[in-house]
Formats: sequence, C-alpha cells, structure tokens
Amino acid sequence: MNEALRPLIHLEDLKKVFLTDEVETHALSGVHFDIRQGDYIAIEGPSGCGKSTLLSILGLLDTPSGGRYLLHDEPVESLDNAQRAHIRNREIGFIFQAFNLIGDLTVYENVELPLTYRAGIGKQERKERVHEALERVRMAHRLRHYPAQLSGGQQQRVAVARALVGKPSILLADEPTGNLDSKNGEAVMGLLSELHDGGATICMVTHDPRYSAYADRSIHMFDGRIVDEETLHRLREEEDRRIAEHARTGRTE
Amino acid sequence: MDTLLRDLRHACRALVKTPGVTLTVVTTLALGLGLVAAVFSILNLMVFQADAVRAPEELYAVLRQQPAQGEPEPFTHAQHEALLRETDLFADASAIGPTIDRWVEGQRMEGPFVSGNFFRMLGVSAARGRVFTPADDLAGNRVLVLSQLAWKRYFASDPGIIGRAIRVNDQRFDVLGVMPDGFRGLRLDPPDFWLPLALAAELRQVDRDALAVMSVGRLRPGLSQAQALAQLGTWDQRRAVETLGARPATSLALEPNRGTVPLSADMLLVFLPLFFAFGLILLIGCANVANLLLARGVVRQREVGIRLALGAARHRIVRQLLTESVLLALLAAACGFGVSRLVLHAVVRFVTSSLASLGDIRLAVPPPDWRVALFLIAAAIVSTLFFALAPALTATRVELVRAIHGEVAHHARPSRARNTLVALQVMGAAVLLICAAIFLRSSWQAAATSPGVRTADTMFVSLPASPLRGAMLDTIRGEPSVAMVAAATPVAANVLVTGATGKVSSSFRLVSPEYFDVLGIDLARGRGFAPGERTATASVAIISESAARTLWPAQDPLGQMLTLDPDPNLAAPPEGTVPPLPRTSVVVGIARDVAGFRLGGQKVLAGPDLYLPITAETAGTSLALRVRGDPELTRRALSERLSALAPDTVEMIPLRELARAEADLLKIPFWLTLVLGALALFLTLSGLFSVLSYLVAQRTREIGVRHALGATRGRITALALAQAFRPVGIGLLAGALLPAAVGALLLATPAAELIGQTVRLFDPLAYLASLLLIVAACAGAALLPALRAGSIDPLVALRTD
Repeated sequence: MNEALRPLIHLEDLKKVFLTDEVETHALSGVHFDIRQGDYIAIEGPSGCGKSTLLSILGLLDTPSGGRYLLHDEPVESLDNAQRAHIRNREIGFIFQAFNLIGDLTVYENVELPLTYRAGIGKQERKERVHEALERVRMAHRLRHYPAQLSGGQQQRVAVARALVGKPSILLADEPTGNLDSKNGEAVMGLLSELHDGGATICMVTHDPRYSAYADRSIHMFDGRIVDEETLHRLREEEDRRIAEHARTGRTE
Repeated sequence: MDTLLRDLRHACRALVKTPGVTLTVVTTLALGLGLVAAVFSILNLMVFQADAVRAPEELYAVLRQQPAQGEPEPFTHAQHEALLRETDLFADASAIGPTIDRWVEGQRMEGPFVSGNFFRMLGVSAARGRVFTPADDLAGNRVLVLSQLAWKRYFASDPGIIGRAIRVNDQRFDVLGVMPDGFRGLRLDPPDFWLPLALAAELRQVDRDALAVMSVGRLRPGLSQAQALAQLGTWDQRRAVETLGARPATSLALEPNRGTVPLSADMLLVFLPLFFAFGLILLIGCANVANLLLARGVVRQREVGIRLALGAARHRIVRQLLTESVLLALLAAACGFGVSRLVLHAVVRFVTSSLASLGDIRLAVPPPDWRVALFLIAAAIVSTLFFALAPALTATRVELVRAIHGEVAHHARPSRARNTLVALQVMGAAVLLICAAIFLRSSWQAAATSPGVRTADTMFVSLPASPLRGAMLDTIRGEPSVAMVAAATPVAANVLVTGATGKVSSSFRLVSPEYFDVLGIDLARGRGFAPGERTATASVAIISESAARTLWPAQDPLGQMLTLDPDPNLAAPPEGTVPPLPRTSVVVGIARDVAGFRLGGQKVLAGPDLYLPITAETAGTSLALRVRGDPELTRRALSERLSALAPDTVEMIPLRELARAEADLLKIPFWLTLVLGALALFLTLSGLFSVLSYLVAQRTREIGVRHALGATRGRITALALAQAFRPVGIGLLAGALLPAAVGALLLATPAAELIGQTVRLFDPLAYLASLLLIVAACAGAALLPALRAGSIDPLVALRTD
C-alpha cells in the first residue's frame, strides 16, 4: 500500500463492555474506522454514547473488550501496561478537558514531563524541545509560573504544549474547550487548527457542533456505534420522542 | 543521575509544600529510629567500638582458659614477667592488675592497677597533666591518673586538679593527669582512676609475684595470632613443668583485646529483646506513616494518573514516591540521632540515680561514631520499605481513565491495608503494655515479699580468713553505731538429719546465740541458744518451723533428739563450716522460717532447716550487725576503720539493699516497657484518630444518605465506632496471645524455674488491666470522629461530591 494512504490508526469491530456486578454495559459495540496521517477528526455524540471511551482506547489508557486496534500497522489492543505506557509516551499526545497539569510543577516542568519518562533525551535537548513547544503555543514567557497562576485558557495552551513536546504521531483531545469560556475556547480551537495546518494529526471528542466544524471530518456516535449524520439525527429524534412519551404516560398514571 | 536529582528536587518541593505531613512523618519516624539507634549505640560500644588507643587491632590479651569446673587459675605477675623475659611474642606488653574501690575525697571510686608502661603501650597521652611512667611504677610513687568521666563527675572538671593531693581512704595520692574523653583503658566503661601496679602488692597486702594480672600487648610484627598462640602454649607448658612439675590444668588463650566484647549468643539474647521492644515503636510509627501515605495516595491519584497517561511506567512513579519517602526517612534519621542521644542521657541518668540498691552503677553515655550514623541510614532505608512501599504500590494501582478525571476508584481506598496497620499498631502497644504490667506486678510482688529477717537496720559483713580477723571483730564491735554483732557460717551446708520420719537431707547453719536477735528471727516455741552454748560441740539445735513439720509431723519437736550424719550424696563441705559428724543434738527451739532474699531469680540467704551454735570468734564465719541509725553511715565508718587493718578485704552490704535489689532489678524492664508502651499507645491512638477522621471525611456522602434514610445520630456514631474497633479487637487478641506464647516458650527452656519465680508471666490482672487500658484509650481516640460522623448534616453531606 502507498505509505501516504496507509492508516495511522485502524480500528476494526472494536468493542468495550463494562461489567458491574451482573450488569453488562456495552460502551462500544463494533466500531470501525481509520485515522490517517494529517487527519483532523471530531468525534461527536450525546453524553454516554461512548466517545470518551473510544478516545481512551485510542490513547491506550484503556483496553478494548474485543476487536482490533492497529497503530502503525501494529496491533496494540493486547499490550501490557508497560508497553502501552511506552507507546503513549512516544506516539500520543493528550489534551484533557480539565487540562490536567500537575499543580506542584512549573509550566516548564509540566511540559518537560513526558520527555523525562523517555530514555535517551539529554537535558539540553529537553530544554530546547520544551522551549519550542511553548513558543508554538505562545506561553514561553510563563516558564516559571505554576498552573494556579495561569488562566484556564493559558493552562490549556500549556497542556497543548505538553502534548506536542514529545512529537507524537497523534494528538487526542477530550473536550478541550469544555472548561473554558467561549473566547478561550475559540483561541484553543484556533491553536489546534494551526497545529493541524502544520501537519499534526488530531482526533478530538466534542459535543459542541461549533467546534466540530474546525475538523476535516466528523464521526458521529450513538449508543456505542458510529452512525452517519442523518442516522444520528433520526436516532436523536426517536430518543427525544421516547423520553417525552415516557414523561407524559408517567404523569397520567 | 539526572532523573534522581529531578526526583529529589520534586520530593523536596513536595515536603515543603505539605509541612504538616512532613513534620508528622519526620517526628514519628525520628522517635522510632532514635530509639533503635539508642540500643544500637550501646551494642556498638560493647561490640564494635574499639577503645581510643593507637592501632587497637594489634592488641591481644593473655588469659587462662576457664576449666570445666570452678575458677581458672590466675595468671600471675610473675608469669607475666616471665612471659616477657622468655618469649618475644609481644613487641610491647603491659600488665593490668586487680581493680579496687576506695573512698576518694569522700566519693566511692574504682580503678585498676596497671604497669607503668600501660599508657605508652596503648599510645595514649593524658588530656591534662601526664600519665604515669615505668619510673613512677618502679618507685612505687603514690600517684594516680583520673579518667575524664571521674574528673567531670567527682571533681566538677576542676582545672587545678593536676598535682593536687587527694585522700584515697586515709592515704595521700597526687593526681598526675586526666585521660581524654573516649579512653576506656580497654574496658567497656572507663574506670575512675588508674594506679601504678607497684602499689597493688602494698595496698592489697599480697605478694607482688602472686598478684593476678592480665597481660595485654602488641604482637611482634609479622607474627599471626595462631603462631603466637602456639608459642604461648609451648612456653606455658614448659614453664609449668619446670616450676610445678606438672602440666597446667588449662591452657592459655590469646584473645584480641580492643576494649570490646565478642558478639556472643549471650549478647544476642540480651540485645534481641531490646531491639524487638524498641523496634516495635519504630514499626508502629511506620504503620502510622503508612496510613498517612495511603490517605495521601488517594489525594494524589489524579497526579499519578496524569503521569501514567503521559507515558510514565508504573515503576518510575513508584520510584519517585519512594524517593520522597526516603528523603523523609533520612530527615527523620538525622533527627533520630538527636533523639537517641537524649534517650541515652535519660537512661543513664535514670539508672545511676534511681537504682542505687543495685550497687555503684558506673554508666556513661556511649559516644556516637560513624557506625551509629550508618545504622541510622540503613534503618531509615529499611523503614522506608515498611512504610512507603505498600502505599506507593497502592497509589500507582489506579484506573487511568477515572484517575485523570479526578474520580477516586474504590480500590484506591485501601481499607484492608489500613485496618491491618491499625491492628498491627494495637498489637505492638498491647505487647509492650502487657509486659510493663507483668514487670510492675512482679516488682511489687518482690518488694512485698518478706525475707523473714529485719532489713531496716541490719547488715552483713564478710570477713577474710586472716590472722587479723580478731582485730577486725574488735574494730567492728568498737564502732559506736554498731548495736549488736552476731556470727554465722556464710553458706548453709547439708547433712542427713534423723527425726521421726527417718533420715532427711537438711540444710543447717552454725550461728552465734545473738543471730536471732540481730536479724529479728522470732522463735515460735522454745528458746534460743544460751550464752554457755557458744560452741560447735554444744548438743543443742534450733530447727525451723518447716523442718519441724518434716521431721516430727505428729510429735512435739521440742526436746527431741536429732542425729546429724554426713550426706554421702554431696561433696564434703569446706572445713570449718560443719561440726564434727555424726553428732546428736536436742531440739531446744523452733524458729520461724526465713524465706531469704531473691536476686535475679535466685534465693539468697534463705534460712536453713536447723541452726547449731558457735561463737562469733569462729574463723570463717560472716557477721550480721544490728546498727543504730543509717546502715550506710555505719558501712562508711567501718570501711574507713577496717581499711587501716586490711584494705579491700571486707565486704559489707546493708540488708535493706538486698531486700530492694530484686524489686529494683525488675523496675528496669518495667520502666523500659512502660515508656515504650506509652509511646506505642500514643502513636496508635494518633493513628487510629487520623484513620477514623479520614474515613468519616471520605464517607460524608454515604453518612448523609444513611441520615436521610432515617439512621439516628447514635446509630451512625455506633457504626463509626464499630468500624474502628474491628482492627482494634484483632490487634488486642494478637497482642495478648504474643506475650503468652513467648511466656509459654520461655517456660519450656532450661531457665523456666528461674524465670517463673522472678516474673509473673501469666498474671491475668496484668493482661486484663493492659487490655482494658488500651480499649478505653482507643474508645477515647475514636469517639471524637465517631461523634463527628453522627453530627453530619445530611443536607450538606448529600451535596458533597
């Protein structure tokens, strides 16, 4: 296959079942899709549809219950913890809704953190890469500050720098604007677009259609499955009707 | 290295950021580490810390080996001189003579006689003044050198001590010098002074050649210990054959002498329980800290989750958490050093000031050295594994997805681990407090046990077998504070006594007629010995009540004839302690039984089955004195008077000291375990309080739900208390079983009788009181958080995330 056409990530019949006591919850029910180098994908869907679970599995934070997950053509669905940590560190950059910066560390140290878990990178190289990442998100002037001394938007930009610093194959963003006001939200989305324009591969989970518009491609999820946009609307309308009906019969009873 | 430095930097920052946690952890660990370091300091002094002399590893001592029975033949000064003259084993050697104690400027002090080259051979100089030389020794100069300890303790560090004339008993001695701190004269504890060996013969009135000495010297360079021993053995055999015409009964030994004792099984038997008791505090402290770190791990779950999400391997985070803990432990070790010095000073002060009945206890605080520092560092690192490894592993066992969203996973609230730690703490406190109660009750029992004789105003005096005995007796009788004098053979002998029940092996003592009055031994019936019966051939006897019951169970013993025959199963008693046998005596009196004193589990001076008369002038007898006023004053007065006649040959002991000795001896383990038990209980209570407070805070929402569902305040409080008392109950059970099991084990050893008579191992009151104390204390500690749980406002609680 042509190298450019070969998917960075290939998911095939991916399943995730949560077992609580005797109850089985199917969070993902046979998900298929590919992500290619340079893609900017938004995963949309209502709460509980499985989009965050999918992102966790994509980020190797969680393991699927079934199906295949190929990263760079290598199966990664059944790796052990240490192997998954190794791949997370090199191939994946995370941007979380709640920023997840470590309060005890300075901006510099937070961004440096993924590199400190990687063998073979000297102090000088780390320094250069941290500065470069912070320059890209325009936070290089806040090196010695602690997260608590930054605004939400600034914290998210530092989180983006941290995701970038290890030069990962893909950035995974879980509701990156969820904790921000609209102005800061727009700024972060602008930053992601810039990164994408610079060649970054991004997969973002959002429930806000305004932000999914930034992506090249949107994937819609409902009840743990990927559906097309039309089906999603239909399913949503059916769901809304069912809820309304339930509410009405409940009142008459 | 870069990673380690980064971990250390982060660890330092974390410690500074949470000063409360840091202070709590460091204080708790410092206490435990300081206590074990104090025990190690003592072991270090005894076993590892060589005396402060030049090249101590070159020093060897010549000793006569212990025979299978009895005392070893002494190695005499004449043999020492011959050894130096006839062999070239030593490059340099000195003789260390007997140790004497004297009244020096009104203080009782002790020290050895040493040959004039002693200090030169050891390569030490005086810190003030000078040491004595072979010339001083040869000339028999009345000079002495003080130890640093004696100079400080008895002369208040007098800067003008050098050249000062001091009175040693009634004789004048010049102080030549003061030795430096740390010099012990090849002993574990420094003596108060050193005297020239030439004075030994004069002051002790013995022949210089016959003086028992120990040869200590530096082996000739190139000579191994084995080669030297072989040469020594050959020389000894040849010399014995030449001088005595026979081989020596036991051979000579050549042992390293660095001022320490070898680490023997006996030494371990003493130190292992000490390390166990003190180590329990460290263990309880570690449990407290582990509980704190477990709670902190829950708080830090999100941080751990983020680090894991960013690609950190779990072992990498465990290492980082352990680095923080090691740093805490090392800080604690540094503080622990200070704690150990405080503890040692306190123990020395307590023992020297509170346990006078155990004799003149000469204790000094062991000086610290690099081994103590190394021990503290090693103990800190081992402690880190105890208190930090499990919390670090627990803290990194997170559900990643939930952790990075700030949700606390259920398994991250390690209730089982916490309960185990609380149970462990309670067990430790219970073990120590039960031991304290057992020792206290045993001490009370020892103090309450009547020896059957007067003790307040009486004393025993042991006179030497000497031509001066008569003069000594006159001196004692002439002392105004002595009210009455009686005599008795020093130990009871055994004979076969024929009574109504046949021949019975019985103990007897020869006593003067005053013996019963002096010691207040009542006669139940009959009479004492009459003045005219002061002879071993007088055919009268007084028997004890128990002997009366044994010999004539159904008859009146008074007026009965008893026959004394030698006991063929026993070795012949020393001459003079037994009257001519067989003999017949008539029973003229029945004396109350004399239980005697207990010392280290042994019976001392227990009353015999029968008494036979002698006079106080009989050679080989000891004296019992009734005194007017304080027996200690009489002892000092007699010591002054008798030392003019025969110094260092008379031993005197007030009976009240003997009576107190066993109780005082038991006070040492009592205070030790009490203080440790109190510490353990304090740590346990603080741990229990913290854990329960934490649990209540964690379960606020659940408690709110229970309230909302109708649970009363009382039920919620009871629920919280029940939760606390589950591990407490398990800990109490284990804590009670452990000393009982050890007690049962001890009673299965050959020392069972000794231990059983000294310590009330299974005293139910001691067990019950200790356990009740712990239950009450734990209830007190748990009550506050439990009441807080009961008073939680359900409205507020249900809004809690």
